Amino acid sequence: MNATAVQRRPPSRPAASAAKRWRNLSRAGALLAAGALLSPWLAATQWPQLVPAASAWVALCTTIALRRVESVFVVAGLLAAALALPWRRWFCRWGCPVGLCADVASRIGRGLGCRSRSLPPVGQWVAIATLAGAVVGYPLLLPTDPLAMLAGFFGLLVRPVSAGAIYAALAVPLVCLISVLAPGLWCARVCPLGALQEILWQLGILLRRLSAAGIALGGRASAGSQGGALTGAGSSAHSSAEEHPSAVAGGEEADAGQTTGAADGWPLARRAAIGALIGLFGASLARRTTTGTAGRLRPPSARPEADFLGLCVRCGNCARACPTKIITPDSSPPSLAAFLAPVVSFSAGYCREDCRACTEVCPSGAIAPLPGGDKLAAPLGIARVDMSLCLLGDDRECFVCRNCCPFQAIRLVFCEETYQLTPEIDPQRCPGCGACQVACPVGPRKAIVVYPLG
Amino acid sequence: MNHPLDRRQWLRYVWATGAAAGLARLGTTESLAAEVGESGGFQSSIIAKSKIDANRVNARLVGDRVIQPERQLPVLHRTDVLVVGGGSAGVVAAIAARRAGAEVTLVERYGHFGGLWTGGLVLLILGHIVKGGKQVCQGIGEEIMRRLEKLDGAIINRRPGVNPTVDAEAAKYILVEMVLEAKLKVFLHCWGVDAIMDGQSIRGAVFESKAGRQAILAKVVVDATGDGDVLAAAGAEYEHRSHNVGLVSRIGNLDRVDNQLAGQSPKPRGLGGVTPVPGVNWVNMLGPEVDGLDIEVLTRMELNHRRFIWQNVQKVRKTPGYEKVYLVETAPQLGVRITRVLAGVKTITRADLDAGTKFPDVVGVGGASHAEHGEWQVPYGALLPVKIDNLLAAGRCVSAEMRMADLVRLIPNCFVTGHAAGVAAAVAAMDGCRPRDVDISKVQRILREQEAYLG
Repeated sequence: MNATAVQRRPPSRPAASAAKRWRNLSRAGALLAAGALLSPWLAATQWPQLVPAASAWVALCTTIALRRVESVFVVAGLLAAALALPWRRWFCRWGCPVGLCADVASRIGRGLGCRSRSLPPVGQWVAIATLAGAVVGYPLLLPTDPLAMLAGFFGLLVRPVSAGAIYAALAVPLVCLISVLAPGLWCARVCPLGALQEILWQLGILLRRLSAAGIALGGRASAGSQGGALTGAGSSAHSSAEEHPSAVAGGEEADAGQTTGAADGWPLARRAAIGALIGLFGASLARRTTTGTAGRLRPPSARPEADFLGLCVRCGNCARACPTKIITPDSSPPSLAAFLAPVVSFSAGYCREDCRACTEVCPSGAIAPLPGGDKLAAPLGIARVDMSLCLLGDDRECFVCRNCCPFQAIRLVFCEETYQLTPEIDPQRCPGCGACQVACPVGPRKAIVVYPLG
Repeated sequence: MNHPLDRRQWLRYVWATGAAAGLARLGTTESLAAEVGESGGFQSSIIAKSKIDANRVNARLVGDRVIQPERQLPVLHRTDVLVVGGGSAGVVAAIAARRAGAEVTLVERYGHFGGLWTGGLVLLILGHIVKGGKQVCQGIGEEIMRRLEKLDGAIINRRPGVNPTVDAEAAKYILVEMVLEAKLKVFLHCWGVDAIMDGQSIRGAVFESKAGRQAILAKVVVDATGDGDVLAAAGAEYEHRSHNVGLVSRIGNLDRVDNQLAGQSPKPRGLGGVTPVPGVNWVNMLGPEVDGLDIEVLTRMELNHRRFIWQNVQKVRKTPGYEKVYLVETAPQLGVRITRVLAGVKTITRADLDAGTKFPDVVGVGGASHAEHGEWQVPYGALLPVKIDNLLAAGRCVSAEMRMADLVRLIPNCFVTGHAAGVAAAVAAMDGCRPRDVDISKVQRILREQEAYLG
C-alpha cells in the first residue's frame, strides 16, 4: 500500500501540499483558539467548556449517557459528529490541535529514523466500548479524548501545580512521544476521536448506500431530502477515491489501514458487537469500583459518584475555573476509576458562596449546571464537628466557624446540665462549602470537617 | 505597797490612763479627721453627726408609678476628654488622649482598671496577631505588653506568633502605674448612668456613686463602657444583641497533681490553661447566649455560674491525682461578651476583612482570634455615631456587624479602637471641632507618632 501511495504521490503533490498547508493552518488556528479558551483570562466564563465539548466523541457519549443535550457547547460536538458522516475524518484534518502536535512529533520521529508501526484499530475498540458504556451511563474511556487531554494540559496554568495536574498534563506529551517513536500511530490507530469519525464515515457510506438503494427500489421519496444524501454520497465517493490512497486521515500520517473495508460493513458490525459487550462489562466493573471513592468530595452540583466518575472527561476545566483553587485532579484515588477525577480539598480556600464557575465549564455534565447558583440545592457535602478536637469541647474561646459560615448554618447550643457549648450544623443550610473547615484554628486535624453526603 | 492591786483598782488605772491618752490626742485626731474624712487613729472618726441629706430629691410614688423629679446635679469636674469605662479600651483611650495633649478624665465603675481583661480574668490575649504570625496590635497596647514583660511573673508565652497569657494582678498594677504616670484625673467606683445632652451633642455624663449623682462636663466623651451605656443614654442608634455570658475562674495546685494517678483516668474537664502563676490555671466559661443587659438574666448567670464552677472543681478534686486542686477565685466581673453595638457612620464588616479593604480613614488594624485570617482595618467612621456629636465609641461597642463582634471585642482590638478614639477625641477637643469634622490625617499622624500600626 505504501508503494502505491508513493507511486501515486508525485502527480497530486502540488495540490495535496497546498491542501495540507491549509489544513495545518486551520489546525494551528484551532490550537490557538483552544489555548485562548483554556487560558485563565476566560476561565470564569463558560467558554472553556467548548474545548472538550467540541469533540464529537465526548458530545455523543455524554448526550447518550445523560439522554439529553446538556448545553449549547455540546451541540458543537454533535454537529462535528454529523459532519463526520459525509466528510471523512474532517476534524482530524481541519480541526484537531492534538493531531497537529502528533504530526509535528511524527515528522520529528521520522527525521530521527523511527518507523511507522502497525497496530489493531485500538481507537475503534475504545470508541465503541465507550459508546456502549454511555448507553448505561458510564462512558468509561472518555478521558482519552484528545480534546479532553489538551484541556488537561492547560491544568498546568493553575498555581500551585498539583500532582494530579501534572499527570493530566502528561497525556498530550505522551501522544507526541508515541508519535515520535511510531510516527502516525496515534492518529491512525489509537485516537478514539479519529476512530469514531472513521466509524461515522463508514456508517455514512452505509446510509448513503441504503438511501441510494431506496431510491433505486422505491424511487418515490421526496427529491429534496434524498437529494442531500445523494450529493453527500457523491462527494464522499469522490473524496474517498481521491484521498484514500494518499493517507491523510488524521493528518498526513494516518494511513488507510484503519479504513480497510470502508465499504464493507461486516468487520465494523462485528467490532461493534464485541466492543459493546466489552464496554458494557467494563462500565459495570468500573461502576462497582466507584463505591470505594465515596469518601471523596466532589465539586458542588456533581452527579452521584458513579455517574460522575463515568461522565468526567478529566479535562480539568473545573480545576482551572475554580477561583479558590480547591479543586484538583485526584492523583492518589482509592480506586483507579477515580484517577484524575476532580476532588475538592479545603486546604487553602473554600467553595465560595457566590461562585458556580466549575458548574459552568463542565463539558460532560459530570458537574450538573446550577442555574441560579443555589449552592444549597447542590451541596457538595456537610460539615461535622469532632468535639474531642473542638476548642469549645475544652471551654476555650472560639466562635470562628459560627462567624465565618456564609450560610449561617452553624449555631452554638448550650447545655444547662453540662455547661457545654457545642456547634450544631443545620443540614438544611450547610452546602459543605468548607469555609468553617478552612477557618477552624485547630490543626493539623481540623475539628470541623466537610464530609460527602450519605 | 506590799499589797498588790486588786482587780477594780487595776481597771480604774487602765481606764484613767486610756482616757488621759485619748484626751491628749483628741485635738490632733479631730483636726485630721476633719481634714481627710478618714480615721485618724485607733477608732474611726465621726465625719458629720446626726446628718440628714437635706438637698435630696427622692423618687416619688405617684399612683403606682415611680416618678424621678427634676433636680440639679453637682458638677464634679470639667475636662477636655471624658472617658467612661476603665477597661482595656478606656485606659488606652485616656492615656492616648492625654499624650496627645488633652486634659483627660477617666471614670471606672469598679475599683481597678482593665475591665474584663483583669476583672473578668480574660487572661489569654487573643487577637493581636494575624495569619502568618504578624502582630498588628501596636501602640499603647503593645507598650502595656512590654511593661508586663519587665515584671516578674506577669506574662507568659510572649513570643512572636503566639497568644500570650497575663496575670490579672500584674495587669491591674501596670495600668495603675500608667494612669498615674499619664497624670489622668481618675474617678473609680463611678457608674456612668446618663448623658448630658445639648440638642444632638453630648456635653458630659452623669455618674452614680456612693457620693450620689454627679456630673462631669467634657468637650468630647468616649464611650468605653463595653455595653455602650453612654451612647445609648445619649440617644445614639445601636444594635442590641445577645451573646454568651460566662464567668471565668482560676484554680490552683495544678503543680501538685499526681501525674501517675492522673494518667490512669480520663482528664477531668475544666482544667483551663496556664497562667504566669505556677500551678494556677485560668478556666474559661462560654455560657449560654443571653441578653447581657437584662439584670435578671445577669443575676441568674452569676448564681448558676458560681454554683457550676464550685461543683466542677469538686468533680476535679474527686478525680484520682487531682485531689489537691482548689478554686483560687471566680472573676469579679461576669463575662459579658456583647450587648449594645453602635450603629456607626461606618461598620466593620466581614466582607471588608475578606477583601482586605483599606480605608482612607483607617485609625487602627485588628487581628484574628486564632491567626486564622489576615488583618482588618478599623475605619474612623466605626467609632462615630450617625447623629450624636462629641461622642466616640471605643472597645467592643464600636460599629461592627454581628460576625465581626467576636473580633472587635478581643482585648488587643479594644486597645486598638481605644487608642484611636483617645487620639481622635483629643484632637477634636483641642481643635475645637466635632469628632466627625476632625482632621483625620492629623489623627493618623499622632497615632503613628504613638507607634500605632495603621496598615
